[in-house]
Amino acid sequence: MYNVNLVKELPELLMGKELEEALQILPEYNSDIVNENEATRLIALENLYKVFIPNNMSKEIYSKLYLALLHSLQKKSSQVAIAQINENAKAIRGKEYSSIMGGADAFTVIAPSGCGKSSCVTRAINLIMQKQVLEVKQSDIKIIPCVLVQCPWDSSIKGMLLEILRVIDMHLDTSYYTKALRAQATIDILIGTVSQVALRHIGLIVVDEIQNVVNSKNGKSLIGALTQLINNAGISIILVGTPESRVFFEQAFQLARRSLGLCYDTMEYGTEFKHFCEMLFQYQYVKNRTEINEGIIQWLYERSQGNLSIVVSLLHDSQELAILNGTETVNIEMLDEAYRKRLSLLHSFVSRKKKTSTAKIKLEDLIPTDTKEEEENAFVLISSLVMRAKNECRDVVTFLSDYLPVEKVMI
Amino acid sequence: MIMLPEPYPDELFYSWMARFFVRTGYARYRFVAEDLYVNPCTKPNPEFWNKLTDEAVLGINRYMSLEDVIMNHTMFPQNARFLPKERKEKAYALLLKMDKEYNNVLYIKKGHGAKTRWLQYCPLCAREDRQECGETYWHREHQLIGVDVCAKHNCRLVDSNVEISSKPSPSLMSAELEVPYEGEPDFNITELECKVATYIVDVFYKPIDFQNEVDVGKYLHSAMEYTKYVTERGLKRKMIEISKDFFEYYKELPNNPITEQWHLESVFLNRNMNLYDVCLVAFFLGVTVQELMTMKLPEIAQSKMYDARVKELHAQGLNYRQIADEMNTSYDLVKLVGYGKVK
Repeated sequence: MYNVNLVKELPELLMGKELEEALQILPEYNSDIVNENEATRLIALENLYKVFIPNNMSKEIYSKLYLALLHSLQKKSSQVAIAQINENAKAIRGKEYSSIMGGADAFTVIAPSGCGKSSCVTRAINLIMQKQVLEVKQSDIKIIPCVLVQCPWDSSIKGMLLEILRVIDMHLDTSYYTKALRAQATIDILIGTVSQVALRHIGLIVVDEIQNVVNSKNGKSLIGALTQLINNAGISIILVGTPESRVFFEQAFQLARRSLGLCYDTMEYGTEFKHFCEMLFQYQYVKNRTEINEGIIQWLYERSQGNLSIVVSLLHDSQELAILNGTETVNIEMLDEAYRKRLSLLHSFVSRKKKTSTAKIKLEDLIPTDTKEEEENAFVLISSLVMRAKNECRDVVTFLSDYLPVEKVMI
Repeated sequence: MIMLPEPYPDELFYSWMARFFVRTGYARYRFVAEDLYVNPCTKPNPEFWNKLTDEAVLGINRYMSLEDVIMNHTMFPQNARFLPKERKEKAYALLLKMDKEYNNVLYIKKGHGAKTRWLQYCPLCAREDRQECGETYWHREHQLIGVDVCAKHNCRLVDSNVEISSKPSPSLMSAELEVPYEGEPDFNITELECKVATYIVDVFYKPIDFQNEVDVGKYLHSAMEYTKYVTERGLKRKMIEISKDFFEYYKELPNNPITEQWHLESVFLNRNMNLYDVCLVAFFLGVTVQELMTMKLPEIAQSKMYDARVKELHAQGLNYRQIADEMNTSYDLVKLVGYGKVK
């Protein structure tokens, strides 16, 4: 391993437009699909879940993962790695040992559930791992660039360590997992074994659902074990979880230090969100195509509060309902029906998330561009819109629904 | 899949596998034995090898052929170098097949004659290894039987805790975990020890000639032709003379295994093909390393030259007494040669 340039085995770091195009997944869509029968269209509708539209979060995650992997590979190429291999062997044999190598990168990716953090991480890993295994000919060097594991629900250290071994076996056709089970080793020895294997075969480890440590009595121990793994293996570790894990990491400095990283919230209403909705709205499998407009986008934001998974679910389920009940159109009514019938469990979460500022809608988002320059005030009252509708002799409700989400309530 | 690390130059095969064991992270030796050996209960042979699994062979072949392993990473050159041609070829074939019968064919001292041995290391070589490679390993040249001096650094080799015998439990002990970082080398070595060690190590590294049919005992005898150690015709050895000078020459050499005349004669009789013993005799006789490698007998033996000279002088008209005076040799011997009554 020493004196081998592992970094050159990595694919190139992508940036800008190239990165966007590489990250993007847009399943093929043929507008003729609308002429197919319901069953075909319902199956094709699942393509909505395959769509991946890169945003700032996904680009940042990709760059951070790539650089963490680079750092880890540079450490493996050093002579210190050989010394650490032998130190780990002492640990496994119950002798005194030291961590010579030190950890590489360790950071968190924290975002609310449904924001797409796991999707972004998985997509970034797939992009980096164009080769499933980095190999150097005529040597024992086989490195899995990224290993993705889930934090066990009970924060079991043994569970996590065995899972890492299992993933390695899957990629490298080895038998570390079965042998670790047979050995019935203590956790200390298992940490030594996994450190050794990770040092030789892993670039970086991504631990998803790290928030599981919060409500578990083993949580601190698991983080401690991961810290030990970082120090003994010299690999990078990325912890992915929801904001509730932030409270956990704030408890102690050494935890907080390891958890510096990327923090995201739901998407703000803006260009990115609009672009996302516009791209997704192109995938219509109902017979009557609807063009997306400002009203629909705002309605979607209102109901999702920027949570992209909810947007996807709304667009998917509304089309599903439309196909099943024969309405064959995606409009605010169908979206609303999907929201009421299919996403009822999320209503309380969404309303909690609602920001008061969504009640104030910026003028430029409401008024068609040709009249934008006539207005100076950034905000407008609903009464102004009603007045305008009357002046133009239009139905108020219909007029308002072009600019605002309108909910009809039976009195 | 078995991912063996790259072997180091002159690394013992056992050491190579031990480093693999370290890298696997396995908690027990049994697991690596299952990966490497057909019989996981086998005790790894520190000087050669045991029957390996197909996966292990594939792992080896990523770096070299099995033939290269035998020549460059086992002690085969030590134990087979001076064997007779057929026995050498048989030992090689058995070792290549990983048939443990090679133990009976190679010259390996066992039983009462064999002392307990441990894997040895040179503290300075270990230090250099750690600087260059990040870890040390078991060098072949440090395991030569009888040699306890490092030919490179001229310091005393140190015994480790890894015993080379069938007594200890099976395991693969890596040098990096056994050789301590501390410890100063012992330079209390005589010049003779250094020269002998260098000579033997040089011989050890030379390629083995499988085609040479000359027995080493016969060759060493021929190396004494025209010296005081053989009779006039060169056919008989003067063992008392040889022994006296040999023991005197090596009186400063500690642990000289050849302390009896019969032991010394066994080398000439081809009964003792031990590398160390043969090299001691060769070094004493002034045979160079290259000469010992080629082991070329003189084109015309001393006896033939003697006989030819007698006949030549006789043809010139000298009588046997005159020939004996001319050649400063025994009259009786000249007569025997003249009458054709000698071998």
